[in-house]
Amino acid sequence: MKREVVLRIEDLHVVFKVFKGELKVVDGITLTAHSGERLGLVGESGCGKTTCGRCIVRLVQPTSGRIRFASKRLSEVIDIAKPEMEKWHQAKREIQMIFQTPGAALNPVFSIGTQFITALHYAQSDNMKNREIRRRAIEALREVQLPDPKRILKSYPFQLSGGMNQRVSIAMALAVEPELLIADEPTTALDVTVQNQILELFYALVKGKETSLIYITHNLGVIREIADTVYVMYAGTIVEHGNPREIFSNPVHPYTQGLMEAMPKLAGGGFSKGIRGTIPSYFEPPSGCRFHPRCSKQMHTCAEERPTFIKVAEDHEVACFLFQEHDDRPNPAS
Amino acid sequence: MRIRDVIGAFPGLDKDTFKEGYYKFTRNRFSVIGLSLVLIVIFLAIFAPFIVPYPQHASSYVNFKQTNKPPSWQHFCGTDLVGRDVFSRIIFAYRYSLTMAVMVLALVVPPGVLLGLIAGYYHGTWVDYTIMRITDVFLAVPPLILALAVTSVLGPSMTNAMMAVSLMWWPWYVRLVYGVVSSLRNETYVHSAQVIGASRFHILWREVLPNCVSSVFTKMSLDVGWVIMLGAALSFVGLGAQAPTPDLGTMISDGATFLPDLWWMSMFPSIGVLIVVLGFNLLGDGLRDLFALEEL
Amino acid sequence: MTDRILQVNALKKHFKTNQGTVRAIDGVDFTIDFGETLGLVGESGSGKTTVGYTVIGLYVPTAGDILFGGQDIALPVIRRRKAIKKEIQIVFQDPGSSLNPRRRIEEIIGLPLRVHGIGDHRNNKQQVVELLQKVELSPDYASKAPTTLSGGEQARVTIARALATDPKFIILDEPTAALDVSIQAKIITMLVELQKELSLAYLFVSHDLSLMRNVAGRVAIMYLGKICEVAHAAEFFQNPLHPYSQMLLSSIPVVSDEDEALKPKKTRVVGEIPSPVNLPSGCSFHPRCPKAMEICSQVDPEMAEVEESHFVRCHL
Repeated sequence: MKREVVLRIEDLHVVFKVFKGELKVVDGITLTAHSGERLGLVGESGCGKTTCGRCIVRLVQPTSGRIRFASKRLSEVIDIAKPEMEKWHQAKREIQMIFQTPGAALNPVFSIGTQFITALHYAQSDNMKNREIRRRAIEALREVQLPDPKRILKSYPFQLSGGMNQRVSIAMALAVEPELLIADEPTTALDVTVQNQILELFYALVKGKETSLIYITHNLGVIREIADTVYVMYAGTIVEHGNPREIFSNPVHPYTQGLMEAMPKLAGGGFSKGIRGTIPSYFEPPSGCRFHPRCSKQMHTCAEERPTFIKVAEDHEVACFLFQEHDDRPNPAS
Repeated sequence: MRIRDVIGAFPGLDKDTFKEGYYKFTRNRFSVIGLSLVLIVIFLAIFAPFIVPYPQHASSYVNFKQTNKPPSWQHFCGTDLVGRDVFSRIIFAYRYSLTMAVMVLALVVPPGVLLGLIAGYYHGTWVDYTIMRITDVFLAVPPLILALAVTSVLGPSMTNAMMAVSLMWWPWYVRLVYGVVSSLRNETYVHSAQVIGASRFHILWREVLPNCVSSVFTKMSLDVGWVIMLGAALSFVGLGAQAPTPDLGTMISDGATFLPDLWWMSMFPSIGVLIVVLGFNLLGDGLRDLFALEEL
Repeated sequence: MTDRILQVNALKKHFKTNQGTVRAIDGVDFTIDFGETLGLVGESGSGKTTVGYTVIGLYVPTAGDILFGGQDIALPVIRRRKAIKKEIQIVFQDPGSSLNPRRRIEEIIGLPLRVHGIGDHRNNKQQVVELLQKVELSPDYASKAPTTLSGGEQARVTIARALATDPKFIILDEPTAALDVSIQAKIITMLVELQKELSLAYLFVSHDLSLMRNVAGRVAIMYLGKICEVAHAAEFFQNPLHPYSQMLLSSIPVVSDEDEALKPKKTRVVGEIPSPVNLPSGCSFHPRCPKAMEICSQVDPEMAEVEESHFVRCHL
């Protein structure tokens, strides 16, 4: 059941220049999203996942690499990293983003209605009358299960709770019926019960519309609930990817293993002391595999070359020298 | 202990901090221009008697053979009504302007900041209301009118002008610090100090104040420009420095009647004012950038 | 002499706002023994942080008393006796904002030492270094500024500061909420070790039930200003009785099938937390409760001991 590829990120690099030097934040990410797929991008803070997400919507300009977006509706393939501006303007509509803080994406001085209508107005290629746009907005709000949409349209963001604001953001993003939705930690700022409801919402909405979803988070549990595919990121690189259930029950990359062990379980039994070492500096990131200084199983090759992806199980690939031809000598520095 | 406290406002003061400070400051070209202008003015003011071509022109001096001469190589900015070199007088006038600015700020900033600290910390209580209402009263009086009133009562002189300016300047500092402190007092680190049991004095002086320092210094720099202008305005109407003391305002005023023929007599002092005020304004912007907290 | 270090009775804290009275805490009772960890769990608006702030004295209770070692300390922190302030400390939620960015670490940690006269000015440096070592930070952190530290390091500094006065009781207000999982593991492990080493009692305020499972001795669930269930951790997670507890547990995203099996089934999350200004009548949970009965909208239930040391406030 091979679905079509909607988005393909190839060898993405993002380098930020600051006073102290260059921050090599994203260092060679390759990622594929299929139509109708729910893809989870998971990693701890500072690993570059948000930067990746932002590159897809061109809020951040990548330093090198390609982001190929195959739009069904437009029957075009464009490279978001270096697009032809004309085509990008058309394609923008097909990619929407939902941000982390529910209130932040909404302008506090305008009512929801005003913002919604403005957003739809710009997103429509055909000139719709305000009335029609309003009707669409109400429909969208109903779909995210907000009671009394007319009242919501009249309200201001501060009058609504975080959960409701986030639903509004989701409604706005989905109202234009994009092909690709990027959610950047949309439930991190919300309560657990609200998060649960929003996740169910995502599930239902995305399923119905053949929209692809890229869900960025640091919460592995959320990924397990909502994603078909997961990409585990560490320090700007992907270390493992595949089916979440498979990966979480059988993590093979030392980082993923460390992460799983560090998580407190509902079943009790304590948790580990965490992963030794700290996140590396992006000014001078470790050579070869970026995780090697913290890895208890590091070997000589790990510091020399970057590992490539090897399939270890059905729908489960890992980038680690433990699983491929390597120099078996343990690294003297470990 | 006291100087340590101020320096304590910049934790980890060492070579790195200076380098970073340098970077933060110099990112904006204009701040550097401002700093250069200010340094030049200060230098000129301090060393005026030694640099200026005609130092004696700064005091009683007349030379009726050289009156009303336009700019030339001997007199860069021309001469005035009684034959004095305008350029030299401008440089000397800087001395007085800067002195005045420093004195006014020295008089105004400490009490203003102190009152603002107290009012802000006790936000919402009678202490707050008392202090701020008194401040409001002083703010309500138009500055120039107040200055005029003071100087006409006490007699026109530089000192009196300074006092007048001080009197209407301090409320602004109270206001500024009050605003900053009112929000700072809800910061978690202030709560933390309270929980630990630190005295109120400690909290105000060593937790809150260092975080106000940036706003205050920035404002001070901008204020130098304002004070100088206000002083010039007072002198312009005759209430500031008296003849023969060179003063930018008086010089502009004296020369104003002869515009546009003997344009240099007003023009150059005006440019003098412009340079020093602009310099401090740009410097103020740079200071604000400098004090911004680490953001990488 | 009891084992109790803290006893809170009928605590209430109401805030008057333009929209009405916010009943942040509306009748809360609990006790904590020496060396014990009580996990206070709730979502936003439950009042859990307010409880912590009231116990430490940043808020003054509207009603009720707080007995610390037998003495009533329901006073604003400024008025409390120094000896009391020494014994009870707090670690705030966001380590970044609880450290004054304009001061050095050694001054920040040195403050409690100076205030309570522990060691003199000279010895200060030595003790600061010792405290830094306790939280596994090297001595050269002393002269750094908080803004140059990572989240995990900042959290350690706030813990070192809390330990400076050698307290018996520390309120931990979601100390790791802002931290990543791997760093959280380190910090929590450290907190647990310190607890054993120094016989500390913890009031651990959190929203993370999985974490509480592994850290708390007893767990108390709060909803809209009241505690709805208190039990020993193991008992609670095997047998949650209150419908809200069940709802909470069922909505946690977990990573393993094993954990998934432990979650209560047949519970769906319904509705949202109502505004604390406009509380529902009777039991404040009844509009969302799948097992609501008629009495639930009329009468607010009392706390009852349903099983050994397992208290629930529910009409069921």
